Amino acid sequence: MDNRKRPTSVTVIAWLVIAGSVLGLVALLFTIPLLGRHAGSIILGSLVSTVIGVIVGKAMLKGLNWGRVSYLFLQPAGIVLGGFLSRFGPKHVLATFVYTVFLVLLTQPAASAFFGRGHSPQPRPATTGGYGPDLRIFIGWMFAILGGILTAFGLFSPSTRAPWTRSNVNAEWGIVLLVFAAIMLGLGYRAQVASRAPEQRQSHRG
Amino acid sequence: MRLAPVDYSIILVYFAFVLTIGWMLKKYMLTSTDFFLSGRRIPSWITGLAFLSANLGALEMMGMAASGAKYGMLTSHFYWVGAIPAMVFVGVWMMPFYYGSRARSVPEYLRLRFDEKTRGLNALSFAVMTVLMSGINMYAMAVVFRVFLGWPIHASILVSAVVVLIYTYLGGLTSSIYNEVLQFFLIVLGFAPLTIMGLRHIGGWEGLVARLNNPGMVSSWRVLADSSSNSMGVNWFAMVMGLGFVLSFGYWCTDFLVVQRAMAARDMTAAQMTPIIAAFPKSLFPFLIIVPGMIGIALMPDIATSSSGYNEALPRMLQQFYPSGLLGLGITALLASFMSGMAGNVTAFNTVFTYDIYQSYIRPKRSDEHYLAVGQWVTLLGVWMSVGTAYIVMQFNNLMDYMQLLFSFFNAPLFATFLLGMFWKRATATGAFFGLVAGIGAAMAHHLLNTRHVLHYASDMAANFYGAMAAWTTCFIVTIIISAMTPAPKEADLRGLVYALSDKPPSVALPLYRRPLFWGVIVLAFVTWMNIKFW
Repeated sequence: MDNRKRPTSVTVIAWLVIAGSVLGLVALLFTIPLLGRHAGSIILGSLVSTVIGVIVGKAMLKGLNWGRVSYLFLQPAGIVLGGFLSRFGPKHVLATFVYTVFLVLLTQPAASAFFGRGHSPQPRPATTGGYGPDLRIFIGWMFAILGGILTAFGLFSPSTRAPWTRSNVNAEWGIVLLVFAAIMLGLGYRAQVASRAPEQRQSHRG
Repeated sequence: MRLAPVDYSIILVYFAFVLTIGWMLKKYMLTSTDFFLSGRRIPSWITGLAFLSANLGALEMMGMAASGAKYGMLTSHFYWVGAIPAMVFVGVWMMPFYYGSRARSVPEYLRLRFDEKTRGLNALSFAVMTVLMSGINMYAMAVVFRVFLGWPIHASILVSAVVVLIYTYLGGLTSSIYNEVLQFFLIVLGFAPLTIMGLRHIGGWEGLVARLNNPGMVSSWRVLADSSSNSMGVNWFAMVMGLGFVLSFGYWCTDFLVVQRAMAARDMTAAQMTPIIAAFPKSLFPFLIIVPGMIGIALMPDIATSSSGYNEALPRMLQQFYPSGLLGLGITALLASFMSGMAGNVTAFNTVFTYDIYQSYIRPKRSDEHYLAVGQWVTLLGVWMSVGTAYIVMQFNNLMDYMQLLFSFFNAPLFATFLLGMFWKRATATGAFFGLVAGIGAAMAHHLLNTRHVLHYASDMAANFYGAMAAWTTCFIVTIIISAMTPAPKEADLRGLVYALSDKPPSVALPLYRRPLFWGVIVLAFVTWMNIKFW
């Protein structure tokens, strides 16, 4: 029997997510005559988001961590999408404010413990990063992806030009980014291997 | 300017990475020291680049490019006369006291060296100003994106605020620092093609000089003989003392926003090296930011009379030189500069608020978990106060100028307080407090006299420089006079806090090439050469 205690904040947020999703759909049904020729696709989209909202809310009530993570990632995407579909305004400011309060409440230690993600002391490798993986690995991967996008775009669309550019600068600069990424990844992984070596020697001796 | 799907995909990749960093660091935030000071375990190359990046806000990037378009190489003084010497000074001479005292913030150092009231004044003014500046930056960036990309102003504010909130809330100072390093590389690699392509297009430096056809735009010292011979309206004395000494040292040596990055370093030598490592890339920033501004005005003289004035220099250059794809990288670099500036403000605000206001005046002697939780809530508060400020500034546009002016009132005299506090053991708490108040008062009085036309300057820039000198000198003199009239502090209380009563930093025992002073001299030699080259 799972005896993790559900914080009141999680209960309230989960029910608000469920109620908000259902009420949003109900409100939409009353405005069908005003929706015009896109009524079908709007109702379908709203139905899907209601189902997702109910599933996510129920998952949070049961203490399933994927419910919490889904909410934290889907809600801002929903606000941004809603903003672009219906012009950004004060209601989006309010929605974002509410979201950030929920974000804080859902990541408090009691909530994390309920979702089975309570803190336990993490070993902090004394590598170049100080915390977590080496920072150069992050930087390397980000520029590898950005360089990859630019190079690929440059190769597939070689005629793309700005008013004052004469060469395929996307491909050229993309390659520069890839070289930079390779250097960062090389340095990062080398440092990671070097920091693990003494630990492994220690464990062999042990 | 319209962005293509490839541009948006680059922006999304960037957002995904900054959020992932925050998420991955969350599990390491176990104590308030982890959250506010990164557990004092970050290596110097990371804190160094973060030290630089925290200052690269939207106003800095757009403003310096605009200044390059308006004043040309005169703008380089903000770097080669202002920032670099100040960064070397804080690294070599001031950091041993900041880091060695184990103070958790700049205001806390003031409490250790002087007393509670000096700390209170600094903490309160810093907290208020930081969050307001963050909002002003946010608004400025939203306006840029609305004018040049047509993005809704609410969307720019909300999206950037939420992204910054998430990663600073989850990973605290470490997340902010890590992202600042990421943003540093993005800014450099995002803007470097602009200088390269711009110079290639215009025919190199000689081509730029010929096209500008104005010797005042390409020299940094010859035009400073008197204030009437340059467009900035300042002479060499105002430039060296006002900008170079008071304003730059005031900012780089006492502003917790940047000093906090060095305090997160893993040992004293790393803390000392932090601003010096930052000084190396900073010394090259004129080529990254000012030169594109100069190329912009040379190729598009109509910028001077456009609706947004010289502020259009950077976006117009992006528009002319960056095709879809590279444009996404350039816009992401602009976004990164804005977000690094905002995150820096937010993390400095939550540390000062939690340690110097909440823990000192509201709820002392609570558990570490309590202060960690407060810090996280204050992150939320700081971001939302910034959003609120952005909307207030939107209604009252001239507030932006007033806020920046007010901010400058506090920094210049504070440097005099620190200078005396660290290098003169006779300076007393009463002297420091009233000296600081008198310095702020002098800055305000100078401003009033200037706006009422009692004082006359060739430009607003000259008025700022002389105002800063007045504030600094007043604070310096008043602190000395009152300190001399009040009982001297006990030497035992000053150990490790002032130069005469501190051990030499451990770096003096290191080989020459590992000492902060050695690298400081190298970067100073480089900027001296640059000053001569662009004389």
